[in-house]
Amino acid sequence: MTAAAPRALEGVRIIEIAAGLPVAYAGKLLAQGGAEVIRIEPPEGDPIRLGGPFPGDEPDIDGGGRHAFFNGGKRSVALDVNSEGGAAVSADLIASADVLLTSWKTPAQLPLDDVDAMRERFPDTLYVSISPFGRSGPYANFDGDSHVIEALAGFSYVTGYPDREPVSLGVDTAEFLGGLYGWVTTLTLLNARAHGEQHHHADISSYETAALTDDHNLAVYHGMGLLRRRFYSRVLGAYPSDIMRCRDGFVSVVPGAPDFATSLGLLIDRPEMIDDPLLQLPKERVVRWQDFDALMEPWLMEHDAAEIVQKAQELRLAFAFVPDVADLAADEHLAARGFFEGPGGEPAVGPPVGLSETPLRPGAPPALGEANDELAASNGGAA
Amino acid sequence: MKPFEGLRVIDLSQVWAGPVAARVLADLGADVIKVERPTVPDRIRTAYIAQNDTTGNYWERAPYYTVRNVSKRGLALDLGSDEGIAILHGLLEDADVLIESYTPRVLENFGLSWNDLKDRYPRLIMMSLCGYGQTGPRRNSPAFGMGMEPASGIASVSGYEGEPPLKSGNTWVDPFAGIHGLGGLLTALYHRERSGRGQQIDVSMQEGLLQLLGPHFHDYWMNDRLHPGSGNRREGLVRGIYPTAGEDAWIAISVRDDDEWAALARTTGNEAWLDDARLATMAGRHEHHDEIDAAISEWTATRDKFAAMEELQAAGAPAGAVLNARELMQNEHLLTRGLWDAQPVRGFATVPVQRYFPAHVDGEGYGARGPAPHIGEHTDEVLRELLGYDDAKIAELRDAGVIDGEPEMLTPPEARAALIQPIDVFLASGSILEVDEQHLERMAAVVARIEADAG
Repeated sequence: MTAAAPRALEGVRIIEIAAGLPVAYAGKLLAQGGAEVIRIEPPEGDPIRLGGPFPGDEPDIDGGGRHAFFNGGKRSVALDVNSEGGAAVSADLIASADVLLTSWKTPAQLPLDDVDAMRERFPDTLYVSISPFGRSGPYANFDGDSHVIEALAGFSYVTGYPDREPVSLGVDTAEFLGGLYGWVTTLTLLNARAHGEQHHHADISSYETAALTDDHNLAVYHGMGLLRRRFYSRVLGAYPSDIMRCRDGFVSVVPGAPDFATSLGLLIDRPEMIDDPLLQLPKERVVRWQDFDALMEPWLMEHDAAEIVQKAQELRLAFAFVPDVADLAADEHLAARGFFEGPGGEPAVGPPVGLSETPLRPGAPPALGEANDELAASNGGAA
Repeated sequence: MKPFEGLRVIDLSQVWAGPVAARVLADLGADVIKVERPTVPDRIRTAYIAQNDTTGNYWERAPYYTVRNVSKRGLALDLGSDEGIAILHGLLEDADVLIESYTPRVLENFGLSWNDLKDRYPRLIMMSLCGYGQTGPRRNSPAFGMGMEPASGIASVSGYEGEPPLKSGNTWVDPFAGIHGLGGLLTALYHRERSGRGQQIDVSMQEGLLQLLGPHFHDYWMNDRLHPGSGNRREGLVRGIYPTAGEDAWIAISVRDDDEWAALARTTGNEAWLDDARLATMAGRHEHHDEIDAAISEWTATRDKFAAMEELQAAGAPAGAVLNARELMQNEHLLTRGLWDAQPVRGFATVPVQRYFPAHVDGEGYGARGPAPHIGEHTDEVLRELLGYDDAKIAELRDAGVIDGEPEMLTPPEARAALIQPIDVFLASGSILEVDEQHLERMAAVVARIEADAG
């Protein structure tokens, strides 16, 4: 994994017109693969730059953590796509590019909401739009972030406690999924082009990318008519599957193992229980989960997460830590994989997937408008 | 022409994350051959059997299995035998992609690791997916999606304020990891077009999931700050999930700027907020969130969740009804957009199967191309077509148990009994809302709509 390693997407030019997290995430992953990603953003910077976190909470247009994460490895052109001059510069850049990445709803003096006009004007550029609900259908004009999308996608109804309101996760899952599919769709169509198939437009809806991840609740409805509700950190028909307390925190406890009964009996120092139906029969544990908890909890409360997980994994039980961000930042396994090694030696979140020959590489985030002179000045429209 | 016509994929993966990546390639035109040991098939075949009926060949009637494996061909192959390994090598001669989801030690033991294969098949792209990746001290730790959500720190930032970390009730982490792997694979495929060389794709489910915490890591590095679960609330936003009319009915609202705030205030009859100096900024609104929530709840409580959503959205305040699985299946927007294809869970019914490549490309979509295969359904066809085997050779392999066999662990009466779900217990505990006695009729209506739309 040296700096000299070839870049898979070398020579591919992407124009990204800033339009929220999904577009930024798709552009980031393409940049990690070696594409030249030129991000067009408003002269004052876009919400990702302004959204922090900042060192010492002092706003810094080029120094935000969100900006570092989503825009690493990109170029920045600052201009107003709503002005005539800015739109003209943007059009020249789009015409020079393999791919335009934005949302059809982005306000601009460009016909981003008119696929045919875009195709006519930019016949050689693939236009990939990622929006909350897509370009068609009854919700096309709806808006929403992950919290709203995940409610409609079936996540929220099954997340939380049965006697409380549904709850969103603390991360922007739906918007990341929209960006993930922006990446995968762009790569699919670049590969097709390499075989002579030029496509012009792809319409991605973050709502659909979130809804498609739910086969857990749909499959039990399709097959049995069951309507799952939120029920702590558990799955429906398997136990133990939960986040359980231990002496110094929490452990994640799941049922899969080649021989669960033996492994669990040995884990909790109760070998006499190995032949008990409670350990032997998966369904027995679902039905008598309180009995199972009564067996398990005293042992968990006498042990720390580290020893529980180590012993469990030696016994081929897929128990795991419930780490927080500080634990993960200090994690030996991730360190051994070089996951947090940033482009200039500072820490950064590594790429989501490893490639042995053309590794994805995080890059440094651009200063606002750093590429204006080089890429946009000739048209006079840049800020 | 579909984008990956002509591409051949050997899919050794099981359960969800790997199979879903392979399914996308199949939907996009690739010839994907799903390889299962006839005696120990994909374990997802035993999950939640249709109609809770575990008689007969119940392992062919799991909707979970169907959804992840449509569009593929099925090959039964005992990789525990030398002949089985030889057949796999025969297939790899002409394969473009190999996908597997074991911990690294497994294929190392079979002599099928990347190091064993890379020189023999220089154009091969091998995607290996497991919990923690192919290197590092935790490489062989077993993992499932349901455990990876907490193991990746997502649970630590989720949950009600002051309560323990929380995992979602949906196993989105599997497709999240599998589709990230697919992106790596497609990047490698693009590189191979130019270099002629394949490579290994190392998918750590954990590292895919850590992307979601990107801004959290930077806040920790910059400010030493962590963000434990804060329910539905998020700094800089007005956000909540509010009760609506009906049993266990809710609406999610998330307001990000002053325009959306004004729309929320006006729509819910709280214009006074717009003149309230305490609520002039997002910080001020956050400080008085309880008071705001009480007023919003008062407005939502008497309204239908869909009507409230339409009203708020029309005014410019982002809102979404909280849907259960039935409502998701019936959702008009998703039906209009063609997210589902009608495919059989054979021996049960035709079901709506979601697309895992949902993009509309020049007005067209890429969905399921055919049913999920029975164990070894295409064994003879694959061996004849791809390896040139004749009937005598195939019969010999069948007799030797290389390409045929009973899934013995799945057939004893106690194994069948264990897989019957205790639905009465789910009902009593509150983990399900109800058993919908009309679900087959409702599903058939949705399937009829999908088929009519597909022409």
